[in-house]
Amino acid sequence: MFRSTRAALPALRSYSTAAPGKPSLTLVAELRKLTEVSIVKAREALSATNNDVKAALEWLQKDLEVSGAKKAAKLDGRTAGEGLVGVSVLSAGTGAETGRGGIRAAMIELNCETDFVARNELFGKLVADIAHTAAFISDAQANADGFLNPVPVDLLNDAPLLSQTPSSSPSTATVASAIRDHIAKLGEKISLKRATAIAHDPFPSTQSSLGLRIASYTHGGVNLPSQGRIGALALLALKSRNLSTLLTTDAFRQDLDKLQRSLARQIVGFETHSIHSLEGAKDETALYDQPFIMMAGSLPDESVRALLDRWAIEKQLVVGTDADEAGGVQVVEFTKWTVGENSKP
Amino acid sequence: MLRSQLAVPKAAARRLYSTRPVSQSLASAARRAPFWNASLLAKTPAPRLFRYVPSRSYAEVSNKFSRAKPHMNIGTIGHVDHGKTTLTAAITKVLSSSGGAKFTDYSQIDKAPEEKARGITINSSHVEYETDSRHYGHIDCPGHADYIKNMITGAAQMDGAIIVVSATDGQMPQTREHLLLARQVGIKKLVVFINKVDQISDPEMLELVDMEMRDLLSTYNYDGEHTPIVMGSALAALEGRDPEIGENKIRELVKACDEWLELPPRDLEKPFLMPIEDVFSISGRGTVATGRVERGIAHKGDEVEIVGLGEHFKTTLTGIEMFHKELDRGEAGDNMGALLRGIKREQVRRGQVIIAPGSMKPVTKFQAQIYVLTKDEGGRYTPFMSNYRPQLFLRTADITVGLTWPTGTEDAEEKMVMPGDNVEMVCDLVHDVAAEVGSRFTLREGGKTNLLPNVVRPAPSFEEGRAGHAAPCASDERVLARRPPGIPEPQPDPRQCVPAAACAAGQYTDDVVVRTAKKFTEDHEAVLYDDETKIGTITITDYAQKSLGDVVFVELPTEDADVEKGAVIGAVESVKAASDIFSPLTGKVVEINGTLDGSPSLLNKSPEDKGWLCKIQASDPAELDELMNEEEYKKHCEE
Repeated sequence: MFRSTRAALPALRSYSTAAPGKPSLTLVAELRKLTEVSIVKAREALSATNNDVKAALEWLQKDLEVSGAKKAAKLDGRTAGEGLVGVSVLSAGTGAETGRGGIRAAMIELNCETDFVARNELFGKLVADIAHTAAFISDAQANADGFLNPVPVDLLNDAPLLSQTPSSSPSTATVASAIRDHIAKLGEKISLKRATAIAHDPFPSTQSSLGLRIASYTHGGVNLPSQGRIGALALLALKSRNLSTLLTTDAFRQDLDKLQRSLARQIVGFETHSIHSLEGAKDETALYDQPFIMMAGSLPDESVRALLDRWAIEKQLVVGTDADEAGGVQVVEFTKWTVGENSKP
Repeated sequence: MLRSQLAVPKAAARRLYSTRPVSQSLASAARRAPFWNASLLAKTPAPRLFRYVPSRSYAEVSNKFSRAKPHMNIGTIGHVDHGKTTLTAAITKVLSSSGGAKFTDYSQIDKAPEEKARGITINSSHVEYETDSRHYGHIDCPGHADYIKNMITGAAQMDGAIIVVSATDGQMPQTREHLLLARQVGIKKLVVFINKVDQISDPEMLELVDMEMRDLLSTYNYDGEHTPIVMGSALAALEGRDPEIGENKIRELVKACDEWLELPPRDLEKPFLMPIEDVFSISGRGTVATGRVERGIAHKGDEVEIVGLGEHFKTTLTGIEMFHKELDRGEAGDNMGALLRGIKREQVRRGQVIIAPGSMKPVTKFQAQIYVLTKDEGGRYTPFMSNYRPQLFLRTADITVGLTWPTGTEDAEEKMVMPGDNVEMVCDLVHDVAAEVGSRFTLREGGKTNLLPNVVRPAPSFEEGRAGHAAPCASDERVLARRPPGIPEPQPDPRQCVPAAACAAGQYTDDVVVRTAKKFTEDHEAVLYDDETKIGTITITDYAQKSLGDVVFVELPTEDADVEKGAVIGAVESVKAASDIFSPLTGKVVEINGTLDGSPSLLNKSPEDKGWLCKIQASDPAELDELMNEEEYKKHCEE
């Protein structure tokens, strides 16, 4: 085994001055480049496998489970208040470019101890993968209170990690084990705080006057646009006899996309706690009462509600005057999270 | 006037006069007071006695902060478990043995939970120590966003940093983020401390840590080859064991900091800069700009440049005054008045700066790093988008600015900035202003009073700094507010060019007789003469004012009357004495100070405060040369 590896890596021979059994500097460096494990670990792996890089990688893989768990247990008492909120939208809804008309999306918060780690690519990729997994595994829940439903953290932890960027070799890791691997590499407590997902099948053709869209926005991210310090997922409902015709035009789809993005930014940018204010009260934390300044082309002081109504008329969602038939667009539900905040999902 | 003897004994008057500078200088520390008043009698430059020394009432008397050694702010950056706190404690312990520090234990360094809860993330005055050659303030850098915010708002500043890496782990993925931060905040040199070497038995592994660290430093544009890397054990030093990896290594580290990290230039060593706060026109002297010198030193007679708000010209500093005394030089921290040769009052305005020629350029567009205060910090509570137009306050300037995203920003149209964000944006000013890399400014919303949202600091433009993916602000140049390519140099308005050209052409050089000066008569009248207009403003001297006491009546000259030198042009009566006033010049009375009719006591004030009698258009300026200058007059008074 040892001999064959040496043959496979001829370039390394000249560097390797150490006696067999004692890991060479070059191999330790090589192993660290491949895995980002600590120096001590890399050396241990090479010693255990007699300087065989391939075997050392396997050894490390196994060891990570043990040492990662050990490290995780050691760090468990610490506070992880930094991190990222990540969003994954697999299917954005009726007439959207992504997906086949249904809705499938998720948002997760993964915490770490410092924003140095939160800014690191490794961490960002893990957040993206976990969000992707959460969106993938959630079921369409018909009987739930709303469309957006929390995903139990334990359930998600046990789920197999489905990478956003599928690699050639399918991974056997679960979300929890992936987190443990990252704890071992990054040396900070990392924990999955909360997750929420939404899944809804496309409407049957008999209900072609109805449509659902998912809007999402994250703010303050460094690497990927789908993650940041604050994130929001919002569900929009559209209703119009014209809907199916309208959705075939590019102009309408673009306008709708723009409206969606603006709504999501509005929810994130302003202090938004609810969609409607209580009867009679005017509440700046209610989305519909806020001035819609995140929408380009909004009139001065025009509220979100007023703009949505105007938009529906201008875009010919509203046809006729019959109340039952009247179409429109509205925000049905939203969830907004800020990294490190105390509230429960 | 006053040919008839003054009522007050001379000795008393002299005493009055001599005590005046001290009491007045203190009173006039409020710098709005006119600087260029008539008290130029003290010819010798006054010693710079009054300097503001902040006193901390809680400091013990024996703990006086000494300025003998240059000061530097140093920070530790590293992974949470790699021993930053231990290292900090170890440094204070080791240096305390040689009297350079007060030993600060872990528990004192690690902030109390309530402090953390209150969001105090960086406490820059927490730990300090002294080496043989320097005084260090030590800060810990807990997070990227925390530090950037503190830096932009000016709460904490690192001039150099120690990167702490554990020998057991080696560099970690986030070590990259640590170096990126150091780069972003403009730290040019680092020292690396490899900690926990006692836990590594194989010296080759240490070599690897060293090698990898040097590689990484080079990747992020630091001098990987020469950066000092010290290997030791902070814990050993703290526990007082194994001096060869403990105490000795700490001393080596400190020495490396002393030798490798560069001291930031001290304010006095930087080129002269004085923001203009106010401008006065002193008849007979010229234009005086006042302000507090931000940095550098200027001498009387130096060539200076005035920059900002559309102006850009050179002139000569013909005089410096502080506390009503003439000085030969003004330096950082001084509140001074600067007399500018051949400059009209309208050419100089609040918001401009007086600088050493060429040391700064006017800019109208630059890229800056901006931290937006949150609602709790007194800032905005709603986000803003591109094309937001607040007011920019830079030194004394107040200019409307448009904020946009740098070219190449994705979704620039829809990108928003929220309170609490720190972002890099392009600032487009409606007027130019003198600025350079590192200039700090604030942004406030126009037209509102409860403002103070954003604090900003220019960062290098992308064009300059984004060398490779690794270094967001890899500029080592201290020229920061550089104009992005394609934006032309602001062309000085031809109108405004005139004074500069005139200066350079020598119109106001010494071979032209300039009588723009203050002259005195034996009878205690004074003339502030302006050679340009040939008009002399007549006042009574300080000595006469003191001697007379409160003036109760003034008889004014007749306007438009032609007067001979020595003729009676008016009279003054005080609580103590009365006297005629004689004309010091031959000429025509062009203006009289009518306000003296109603409030004669104004004559006790300086000319700027309406303390003048009349203005005479001189028919023969040569007469002025016959009058006494300050020194002669002073002598005359003492006789």
